[in-house]
Amino acid sequence: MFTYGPRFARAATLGIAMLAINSLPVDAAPEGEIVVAQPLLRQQFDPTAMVATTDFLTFDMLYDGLLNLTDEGKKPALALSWEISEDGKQFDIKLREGVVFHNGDPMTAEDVKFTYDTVLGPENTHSYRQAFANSVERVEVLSPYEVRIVLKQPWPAFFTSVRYSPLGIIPKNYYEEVGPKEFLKRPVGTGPFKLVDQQAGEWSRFEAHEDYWGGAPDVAVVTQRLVSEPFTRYAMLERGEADIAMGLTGPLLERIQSNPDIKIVAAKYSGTSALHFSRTEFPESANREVRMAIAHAINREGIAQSILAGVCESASSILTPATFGHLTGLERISYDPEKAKQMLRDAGIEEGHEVSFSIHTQSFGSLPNAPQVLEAIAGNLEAVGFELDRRPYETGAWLAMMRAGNQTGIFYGPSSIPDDGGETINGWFSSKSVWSSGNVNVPEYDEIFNKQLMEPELEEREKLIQSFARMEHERLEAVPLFWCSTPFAINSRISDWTPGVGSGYHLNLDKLKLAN
Amino acid sequence: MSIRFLLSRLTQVVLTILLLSVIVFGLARLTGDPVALMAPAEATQEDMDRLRTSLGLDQSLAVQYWRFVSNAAMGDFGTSIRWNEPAADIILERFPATLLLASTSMLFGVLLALPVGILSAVRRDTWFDNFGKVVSLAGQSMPTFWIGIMLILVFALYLPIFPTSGYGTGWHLVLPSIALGGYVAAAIMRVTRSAMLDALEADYVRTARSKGAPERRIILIHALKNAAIPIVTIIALQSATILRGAVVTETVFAWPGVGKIAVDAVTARDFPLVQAAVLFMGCVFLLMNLLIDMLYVVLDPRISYARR
Repeated sequence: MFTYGPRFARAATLGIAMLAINSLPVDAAPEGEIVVAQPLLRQQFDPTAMVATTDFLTFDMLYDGLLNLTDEGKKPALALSWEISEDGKQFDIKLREGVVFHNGDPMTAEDVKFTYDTVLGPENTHSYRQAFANSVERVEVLSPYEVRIVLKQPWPAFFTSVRYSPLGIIPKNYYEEVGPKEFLKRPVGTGPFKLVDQQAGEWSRFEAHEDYWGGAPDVAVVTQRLVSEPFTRYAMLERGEADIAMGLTGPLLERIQSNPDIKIVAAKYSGTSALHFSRTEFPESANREVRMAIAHAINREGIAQSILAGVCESASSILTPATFGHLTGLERISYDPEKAKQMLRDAGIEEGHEVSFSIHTQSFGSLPNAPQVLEAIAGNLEAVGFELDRRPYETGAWLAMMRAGNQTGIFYGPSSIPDDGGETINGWFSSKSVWSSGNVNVPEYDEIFNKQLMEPELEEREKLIQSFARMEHERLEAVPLFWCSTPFAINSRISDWTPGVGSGYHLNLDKLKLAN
Repeated sequence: MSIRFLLSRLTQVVLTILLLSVIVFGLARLTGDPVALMAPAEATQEDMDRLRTSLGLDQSLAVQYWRFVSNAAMGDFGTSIRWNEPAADIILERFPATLLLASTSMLFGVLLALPVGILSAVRRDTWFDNFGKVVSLAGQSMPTFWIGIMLILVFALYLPIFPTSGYGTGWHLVLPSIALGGYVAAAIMRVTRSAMLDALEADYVRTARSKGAPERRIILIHALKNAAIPIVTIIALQSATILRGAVVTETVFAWPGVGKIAVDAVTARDFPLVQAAVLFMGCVFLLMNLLIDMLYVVLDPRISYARR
């Protein structure tokens, strides 16, 4: 006769015993503690080895840069003030005094120099290392609280882009003592929270840094938990097991809108997007009238309201209102399919003209419901007479296609950190840009790009980028689509919270206020 | 059971694992460049090349494969790209959670399927039997992720009895075990019913009845004992199936097991971790099949793998 073996019996007994021993499930997190349910978790804690922009989700907790990105844009953090030399090739920076690292060591100019030197090291893998190496000659310590950054060329974007000045400052002595490997497990910074525990691939737990120079955070403990399934993140929020749920899109957003206990907080203008054109796959797009007709064909307002549930708004320019160099007063191109049809006919484009069109099969920061939105746009384009050859791409394949320069006739171009117009030109509108792969070749844009790179005066630089915005509004090399925000769903335990502006990954949790 | 049989099955296992390693290694690389996915949009080619070199992805495929297989043979699956920890450690750390979920799911499945299957056979063609058939058909047809979401909706949100997800207390085990156990229960239920139907019509049952043995004893001792072989077989087969289901169930319930980390690793193009997870689960699967083969001999003296 078949009998259960002793092992199985033990396992079964253990299972039943576990159910019996534990009395009731714990619902809400203890007082002062919040849980963030995230679709992605970053546990790369070394700011000098940044891999992806999503690393800011943890860097902002643990570190401060010379400047930090806040809900009001970039603000002085470890730098109190700075002077830029007349030729723009030297920044003299006064550091904040009395700042301490999580281990109690004071932060000084030596730590700043050490951090920058580490990024400039030849073996370093920081994602933006090249930009640092291209611009920075060396960093000098002038006094314990003064550093000088000597540049090879002016680098005004240092202060306007979130990529550079928010580089987290690491403690020289501690880092040298424990080494880079150990530092990854036990990171120490000056930031508002310190890492207390983690399980790889599951969660990270942070505790408030009581001696934080900006004041101790209201929240005592933050747990970032990886929960891949969107519905589960939502359920955790509704049940009170999580207080912030990231990455909720589509029907879940509608469900949230009908639940009075949950509200949406948005990181404003964390993404911008446009439709771009391949001059080889779709040569007719060289004609401005064709691009303008396509702009008139797309019902941006309708898509923003319905599919994007108000998380995004129709864009008048590729540069968002939070982008350095944004130009106010540009008119939005109206939705007018009849006009679009007429313009296409005038340009000699027949009904049924075939064009390839890339559809991104995954959503991301700069466009929350990307597959549905792109399908709607495809429908709009077919309504004015195009016949689309839809090509679906998941993120990896899409990036490979873009980097290889194999763009489809009409392709979608997102920008997930639209904080500096100069970077936007660099990414999409200069003749050498990686993403437009030579499809945009306007000498004036290249000239503006090169000039703003060297312009030390912020106001002058802003004007230069604005001149690009004005010119692009006329030329329409790309059709602007949406300015998107990153929605976070929060429950009623949180009374006040505004994430950083211009990026979906700067959570600003130190400013979060809990109810009661 | 001859030594010869064991040796030949073990050779098959080793060959299958080698083949699996080639497939896993190849498939992971067909899906795209992990560096392109990891680096921020604006990273330059130089930045990306530096990252690629630091991850060892600049070597030729043959070199990468040889390094992977030779290290794997020593238990070293490389370091997870995403989590910066040895991939083998990550998998081994999570295996107990998967094992716990698989055991409780199986326990739930068996406890549900046996009584319902037996009663369905005893009360053949009654409403209970028909109800059992519908339930088992539904259980086999409904995708586990959907059942998981529905269980969360009903038993964690509408009726806030159980936690939605996570790990830690016995309560966290209930919903995922039902989701996963329900799936295997359906198959066990069907086999139990048909095996019991056969047994109940056998001569020895008629003899027992004519001797006036109590009905309870006839069902549980005479019939069930003889129907046990197909039932045990399906239970054993389903314990392998449960590993597959764990991938989906763990993801829905954020259960920190091997299945969930494998899904996360695929999304992140974390080659070393995907390879380690699939190979590890493959080995467990193959070993379980080997055990099932050997179990047959123990259970049924008529089966023998010895050469005649």
